[in-house]
Amino acid sequence: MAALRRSLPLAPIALLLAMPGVLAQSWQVEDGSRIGFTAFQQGSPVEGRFETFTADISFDPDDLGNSRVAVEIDAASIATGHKDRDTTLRSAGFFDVAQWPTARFTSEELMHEGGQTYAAHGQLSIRDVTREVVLPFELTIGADPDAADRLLATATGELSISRLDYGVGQGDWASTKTVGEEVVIKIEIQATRPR
Amino acid sequence: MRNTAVLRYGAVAQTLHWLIAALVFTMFGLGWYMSDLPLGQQKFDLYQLHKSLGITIFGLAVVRLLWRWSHPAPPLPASMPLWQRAAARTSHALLYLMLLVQPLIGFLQSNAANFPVVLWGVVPLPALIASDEALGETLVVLHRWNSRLLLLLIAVHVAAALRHHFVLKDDVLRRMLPAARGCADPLP
Repeated sequence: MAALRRSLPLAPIALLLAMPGVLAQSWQVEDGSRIGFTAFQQGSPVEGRFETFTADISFDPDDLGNSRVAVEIDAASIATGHKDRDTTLRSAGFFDVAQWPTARFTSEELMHEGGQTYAAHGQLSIRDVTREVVLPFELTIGADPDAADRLLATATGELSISRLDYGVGQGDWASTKTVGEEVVIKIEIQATRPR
Repeated sequence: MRNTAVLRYGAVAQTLHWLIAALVFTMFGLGWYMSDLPLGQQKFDLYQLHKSLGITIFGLAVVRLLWRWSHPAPPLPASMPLWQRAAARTSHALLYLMLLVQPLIGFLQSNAANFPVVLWGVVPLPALIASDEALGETLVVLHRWNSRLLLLLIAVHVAAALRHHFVLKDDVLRRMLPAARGCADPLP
């Protein structure tokens, strides 16, 4: 008995037990997904979106501890329905996509608030600023109407941020007289996985 | 009590005419200047000014038309041949139409381009049509070409007025001038 104890060192075993488990099931983000926003020009809403983004989603509602969401947004893909405005938004006065081409959201903790309501606590990075945010979202998971052997998850959520917190608005554009400080980010993600 | 023999335009008609003319003149200068500016706050501000002035002109034109409908214009000189009367009526009708159509095209362009229009920075005007980037680009071109048509109409209008005054030496221009008093004064 004493020999067994000596041959089974406890520290590495303890480390093994403390390591995180395998990530939850991976989901494939579908084309119907949208990362949009509402900005305000002189108090009136202007809808826009980012047309190009990728999302790595590992999610299991019964295993939130091993669930992760990581979104990468191509900042240059911003689209507000007007070429000159989009050019201005890509420029150094706003997103400066030449210097910071990618905006990111990385979840740190996913929490179930009750019913279909969840919250993704994580880090949002725009330009050279990273801040802790909480993105509440509604989630439904059901049969995929387009593929009998797959499940479809739909998550919709909104997050209000101050653009100035992220340096989006430099020089003249730091003023809120034309573009309001508040921007509401609106996400709608559709993702599928095999059953 | 209405004048029974109106031989001049009254003060209201004259004021509206010259005010609209001054604003339209300003709009041409503003439109050309602002189009060439680099993207930035100044360009945005001048575009908003252009839009607010355009909507104001639209409103003044409506008032002008309502006024004219209830206060008929002085009759054209008896010596004027029929074809010239027709030309006068047509060119005036087209000018009135332009004063309504050009701002409307501009407004629709803003709607299509997903730009809220906030009149004088205070009153948000609801969009008449939905966002449509391609349509917005078409309407910009239409607005520009229509402005050239308007300029042509104004040139004809001014040329005709000067012809009446300096060549025909009649009262046609004088009737619209506040300072000029011919033999054609309105009854008190």
